[in-house]
Amino acid sequence: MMRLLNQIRVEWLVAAFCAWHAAGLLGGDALVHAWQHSPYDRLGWLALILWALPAARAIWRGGSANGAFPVAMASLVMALIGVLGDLNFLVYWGFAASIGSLARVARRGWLWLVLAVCWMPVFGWFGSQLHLGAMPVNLLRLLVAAAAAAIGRCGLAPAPPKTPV
Amino acid sequence: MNNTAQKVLWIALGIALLLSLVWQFAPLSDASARLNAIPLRGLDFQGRDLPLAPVEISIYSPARVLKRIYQVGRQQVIVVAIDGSRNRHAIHDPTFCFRGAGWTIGAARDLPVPGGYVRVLSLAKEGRHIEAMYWLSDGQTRHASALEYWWQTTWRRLTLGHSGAEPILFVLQPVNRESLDWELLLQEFPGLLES
Repeated sequence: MMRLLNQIRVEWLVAAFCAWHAAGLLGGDALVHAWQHSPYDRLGWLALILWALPAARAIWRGGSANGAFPVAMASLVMALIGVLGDLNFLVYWGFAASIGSLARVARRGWLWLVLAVCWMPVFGWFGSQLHLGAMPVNLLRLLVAAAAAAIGRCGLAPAPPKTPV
Repeated sequence: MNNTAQKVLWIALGIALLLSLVWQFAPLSDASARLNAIPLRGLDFQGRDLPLAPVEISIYSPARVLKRIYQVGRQQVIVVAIDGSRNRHAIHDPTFCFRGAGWTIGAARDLPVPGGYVRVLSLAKEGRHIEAMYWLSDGQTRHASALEYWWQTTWRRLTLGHSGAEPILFVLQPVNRESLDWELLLQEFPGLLES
């Protein structure tokens, strides 16, 4: 049993747990609903794609590299508190961190993780509190996502393969 | 990730799955009784229920929503009261909703009421000016802070309802007028502040 469990990469299951809740698969679809109905959040989906690009690249190149334990644990704790307290932005950040754990987030990658806010509805709320219109908030969202993508290219690069001694 | 870390993560994931399932199905008391207690008619007022538009049903469901038009003395007002117990995300910061609907928010003023305050907003859109009043009430305290609402409801869910009652959001808008005498309205319709 333990051998079987050791063969399964638990960080992928943690990411699946976070994704499950972030997508609202247990009731409610707040993220997609916000993208569809809130003018402030209309381009959130595009920001998510931009933000996730460097992670997808790092995971793809990282192959069977192990995920980062502290980031995976942090993602689980954030998602769990978010689920129990029905606080979506914590669930989303948990999901973002779980992706970060798979992409083996490096020091500069922490900023990439923080900038995950660019695809979350809470970004639109903050923008509205600054008396910005919906279009400027969406443009700002995409700018932040592009910055995150650029930062992520450096901060999420997979570790170089070990050279034989 | 070494073997110990993997084991710790497995255990944490198991606990997270278990807790999330327990919380998903644990009953959370709602504010139906307080919503039902909002009177339809009284000495100086009388109201009737209004149907929700399809888009409103899609946004609020499965939260409980009461939408009524009231004649209060010489003033007419639309009252929307939302109990977000079954869908907390049906309740948004009203300033966010108004801005999202294209309104520009001008001045905001708070009126003291028993247990706290309510907020009156001046709104403008395409040359039209109106006022709206809103507050959040758990039956004891009244305020107009989205952050306080998030804190109240998050803590309430984390404690499975033991931290207090669910706040109801009240939003009031005048009918065919720019503004109302809000203080007079609350005097003539005190039942609004009792839920």
